[in-house]
Amino acid sequence: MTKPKDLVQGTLDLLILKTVAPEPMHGWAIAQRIRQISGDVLRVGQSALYPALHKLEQQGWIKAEWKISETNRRAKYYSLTRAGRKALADEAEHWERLSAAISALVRAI
Amino acid sequence: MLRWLAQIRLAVRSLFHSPQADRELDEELQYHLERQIEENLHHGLAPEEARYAAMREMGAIAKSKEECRDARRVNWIQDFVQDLRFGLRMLRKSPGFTLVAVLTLALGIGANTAIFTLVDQLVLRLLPVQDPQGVVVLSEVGNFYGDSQYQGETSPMSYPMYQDIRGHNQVFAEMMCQRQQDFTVSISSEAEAVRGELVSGDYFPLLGVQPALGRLLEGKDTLNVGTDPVVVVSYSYWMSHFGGDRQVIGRTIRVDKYPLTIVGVARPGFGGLEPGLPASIFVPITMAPIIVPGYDFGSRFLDWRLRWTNVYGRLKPGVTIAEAKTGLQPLFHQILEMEVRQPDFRNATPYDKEQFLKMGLDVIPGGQGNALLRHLFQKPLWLLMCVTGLVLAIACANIAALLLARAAARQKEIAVRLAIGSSRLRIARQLITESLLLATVGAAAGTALAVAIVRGLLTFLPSQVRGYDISSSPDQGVLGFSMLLALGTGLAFGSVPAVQGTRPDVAKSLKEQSASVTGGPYRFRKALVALQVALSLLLLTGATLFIRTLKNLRSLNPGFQTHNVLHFEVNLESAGYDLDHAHAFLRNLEERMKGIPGVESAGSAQMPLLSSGGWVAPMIVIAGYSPKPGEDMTAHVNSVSPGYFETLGIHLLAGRVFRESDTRESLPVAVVNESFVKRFFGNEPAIGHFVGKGNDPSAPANMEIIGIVNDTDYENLREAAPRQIYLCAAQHIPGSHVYVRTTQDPRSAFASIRKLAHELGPQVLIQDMKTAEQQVDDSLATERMIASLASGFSLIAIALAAVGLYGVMAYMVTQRAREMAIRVALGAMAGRVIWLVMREVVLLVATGIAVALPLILVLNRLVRSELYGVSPGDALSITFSMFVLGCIALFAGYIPARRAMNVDPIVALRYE
Repeated sequence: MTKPKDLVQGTLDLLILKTVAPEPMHGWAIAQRIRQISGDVLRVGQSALYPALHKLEQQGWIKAEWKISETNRRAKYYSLTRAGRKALADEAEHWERLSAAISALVRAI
Repeated sequence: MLRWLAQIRLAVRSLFHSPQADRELDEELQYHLERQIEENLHHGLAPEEARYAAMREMGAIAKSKEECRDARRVNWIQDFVQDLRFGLRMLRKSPGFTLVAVLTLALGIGANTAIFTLVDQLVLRLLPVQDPQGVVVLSEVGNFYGDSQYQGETSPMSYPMYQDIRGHNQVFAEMMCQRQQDFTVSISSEAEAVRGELVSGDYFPLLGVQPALGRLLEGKDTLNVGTDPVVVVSYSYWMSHFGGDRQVIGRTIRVDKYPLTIVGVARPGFGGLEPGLPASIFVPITMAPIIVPGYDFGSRFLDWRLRWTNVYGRLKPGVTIAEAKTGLQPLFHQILEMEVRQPDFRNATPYDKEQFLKMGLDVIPGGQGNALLRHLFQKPLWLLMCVTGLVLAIACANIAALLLARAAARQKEIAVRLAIGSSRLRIARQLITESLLLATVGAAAGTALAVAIVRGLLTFLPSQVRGYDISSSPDQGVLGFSMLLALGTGLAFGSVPAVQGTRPDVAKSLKEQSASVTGGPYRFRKALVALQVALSLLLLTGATLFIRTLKNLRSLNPGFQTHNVLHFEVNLESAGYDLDHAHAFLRNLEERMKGIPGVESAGSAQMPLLSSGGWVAPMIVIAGYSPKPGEDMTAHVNSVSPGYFETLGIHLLAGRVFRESDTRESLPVAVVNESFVKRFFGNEPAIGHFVGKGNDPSAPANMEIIGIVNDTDYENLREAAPRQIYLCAAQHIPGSHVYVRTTQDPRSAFASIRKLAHELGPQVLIQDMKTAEQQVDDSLATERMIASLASGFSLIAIALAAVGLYGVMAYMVTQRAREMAIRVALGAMAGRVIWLVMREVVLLVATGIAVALPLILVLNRLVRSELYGVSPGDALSITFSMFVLGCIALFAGYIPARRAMNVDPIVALRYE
């Protein structure tokens, strides 16, 4: 399983940012959370997830730290930075506009 | 805000702690896998099953690891470091190749860096003043009605003209004027020649120069003529002559005859407006009439008819040079209109006035200062820059060919890498990195070599400018230049193998070495060699033309004889002599010198031989000759003592030369040369006629022509001898250039003449003592520099081209060894085998020459002004160059050809 085909390029970033916004989370949990909330529609495989995480970290939107996980093992937890919070707001607004436009178009035709 | 800091931290971590970063990535992915397995177990799968399902779900881990690393975007740095290490290893593995390539590059880059060091200092560098871009110099263009004293590319102005423009213009924030001046300075007792400047009070404020101690000159120091006996010294003069003593303020030094009080020291590094020739003292220009009295411009300080001072302005903010020029013209013409109504123009013809009013005012960037050297060497230096550029191009072609050969040898390595999935771009990048590495090493060696070359070059400069402070050590600009060269050359010769060598012809390359002599790289190498031949022929032809120019100039008969003649200069004004004492001193010196054993005769003159400057009288008046309007009535002038003609071997054709009995009390007399007679008298006898010189036809024709001498070259050897009039020194001004004819090598008389002069006048400085032959040779310094450097560089170019030709032919012979061996085995004659190779050589050279010939005919035209007595398309020079080049090329090709003939069929055939 690779990148979900129905995922518009770039929206994966938005999903990750939104998911880690409330609390620090490790990679596996992020994938699980996205899957649960989307009602099993969006499945993000590790091959898409981890490069995206590393890219966002390099961009300075999320930061990472090693913590002990709920299963009592060392895991890498990601959380939003201040710049990430701003980026999330921008991306979300952008997404709202885009999806509203697409829905309008789809309904009209 | 700290985002970029965090980014850098991450980048640094993945760069320098990459094992740790990789470990963490492994751990992160491992955690993911384990959670997946747990999840699967939770759903009731068997342990083994759960594991496989999780791994299936995960997909290709290695690939996403690589993507994660890529996401960190520092991979290219790691690749670069890896390439660099690999490149260094490759260079170490083939020391022969590395040595040849680095040496070739060092030569090419060294030559360019050396010439650029001179270009940078003599042509490009701006003065170390505040905002040099805003400083402009003013220059009058057109027919000036009066005397003009200058060297260089801008014309000076009269002091009142400077004052008027300064008082009324709208375009300059500030204006100042200055003049370079040699002074004789005594601090305690010993007199010393010191370079200085006469400057107006706004000089330092305009340039934004600050004092290191005390104060600098100000507006109030030049308000009135002769009232401010103060002086500012340069920082280096303060250090060398006062040891940096802070008590120096208020001390008095004698400048020429006059005591001046030191009021301040300029900041370190400032040495006036002549780059390379630092001024040590700065004297208020209004002191000129007192300090520089007598027979120089000092006495005509406020004269409108004498141009002598350089005028600078600082543009108001927002005003461009073009706007300043347009803005100044109305004011300038208003001043000219006023001038032309002054009594000076009483006797001017309507034509003279019309010409005078047509003058314009030019505004030129002045941020580089006066720079006589720039004027003299600008063209030759750019020319040499082109020459060394061509040499570098040839060197690059050579290295490109070497690299191609190497790429061919590495074909298998590259093919293997391509086969296991390396991208072509990645390999090309690695080859380029290797080339850049090579270029960098070559540039480093070249920069070191350049220092030595510049030292050598400086000895080519004429002795009158050898006192210039030109540094041979590279500064930032020069280092930047050679780094740019390294980058440029590295890309130039590196891109060839990077493109040619990485052709993805994997299958063919991996098979047994298929000797593809006719392949692309080989053809490309041949093209490179042909190009080298063409460029070196171009250089060689140029060098031949320059050598012939120098030879032509040397073999000219200048009209005077310099063998066994010596020259020196005495500065009598600075030593405090008035006119009468100066005359007496010189008469005495010339007489007493004849008493020195081996001295035949002595004479003195105001103007030295071939000084590339002149004393030109604006108007010669001849009794009974009425000039047409606009007729050129100028003549070159010199003021000489009776012994001058005999000492320099100038022949008397009619009448007599000056005698001791010609004095200020007797009838004024003059001697003229043949051209003068031909021009003004035709075939009529000239002796006994009266002539005069001045600014306009009203000048009295009061000198009787008493003798006619042969023509002599005046300013330089290139120009034809001008018409000339000799004034009797005793009736005008004493000369400062003394010539002495000896029976043996004149150098043997140097010491005794110095001793005698010191006896007669202890304060008189003897300067510039040298043989007259040396003086003539100095006038050819530029030509000599061009000829020697151009021929030196063209020899290097030919050597490089020969190496290139040899290389490509040797390669061909190696590749076709089997074919040759079979031919020999089947009984081919030795000559035929040699011809197989030589045919290629001849073809290459012919191609090169065919490319070069039109280039030569076009490009050599550009140096026409530097040539003498030989045309740019001179057939003899071109034929000679082709012959030399052809011989060397054939020889370089013959060595591998002979090897082809000697190939042992058994060895060659068994080898495969």
